[in-house]
Amino acid sequence: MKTLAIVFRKEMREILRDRRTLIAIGLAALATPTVLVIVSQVSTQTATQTYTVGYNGEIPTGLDILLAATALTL
Amino acid sequence: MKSAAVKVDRLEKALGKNQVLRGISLEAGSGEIFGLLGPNGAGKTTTLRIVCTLLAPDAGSVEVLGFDTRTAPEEVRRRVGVVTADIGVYPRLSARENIAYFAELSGVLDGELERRVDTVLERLDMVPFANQRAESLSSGQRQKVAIARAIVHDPEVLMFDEPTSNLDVLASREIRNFMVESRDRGKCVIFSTHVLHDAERLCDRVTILHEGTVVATGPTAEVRGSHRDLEDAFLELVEK
Repeated sequence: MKTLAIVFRKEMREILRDRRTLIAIGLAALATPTVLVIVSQVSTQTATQTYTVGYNGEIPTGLDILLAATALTL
Repeated sequence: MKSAAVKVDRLEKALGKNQVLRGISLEAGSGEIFGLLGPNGAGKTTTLRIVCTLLAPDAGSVEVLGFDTRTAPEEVRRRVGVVTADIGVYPRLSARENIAYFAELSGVLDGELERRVDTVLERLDMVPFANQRAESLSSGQRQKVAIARAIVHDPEVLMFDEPTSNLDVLASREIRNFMVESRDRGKCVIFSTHVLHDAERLCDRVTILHEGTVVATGPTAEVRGSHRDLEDAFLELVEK
């Protein structure tokens, strides 16, 4: 257990002194929330968007229920 | 030879399909510089790796100060320090931190750690660059770090595997002086090299390996025999 602690301390010290590793950690820390925000905004937009479709012919029974469930208007 | 510190008995080792050691036996004593000589591929490094417990032998045995490398590897490691040509110090740690790290791993107690590290730094004249990161040190300075970390736990057996192969004349001389000093302090110094001129100057006794077997062993002068130098004797032995 003591050996593990000694090795862990040394590894951390080395990592914290490596500029490239620090830059990679910093970029990951910035990029991860940015990507999450973009993905959540796009999915919200997609979920609330209303679509209008055209239909020719007699409307079958139950189509109005289906359209209401999928946010489509006729 | 004084009492044997390292005893290698009928050692055999294959690496893949390559039979590297074919039953070699040798003894290195305390208070002597023992030369392990031979061309590249003779089995010098494999022998040293088995002695310091990095490799297990296929057959035969190795004892370091009475401890068998297979049954008591921890005891062996505590008594052995190794310096290789491939320096391998941690570049982002300072010289002091590199040495302290190995001291901690070797079981040097916390209360004694700083004193031991300071002693080694002073002994090897490393104080001026002790707090510099290893990546900014010269090859000679980095080799000193490698030596310092090998001796910080005060081992009784020191093994040098081609320690001067990447160093300039000045740094090489310092390493040689250090080996002599260690011998004078009663340590068993094993010096593996293919530079026979160095071996001839430094070693009290030598063993010459060729293709995994011992082709000559004994006091340096005896192995040289009537030849002009050790290199001539060596060439005759390996060309037989």
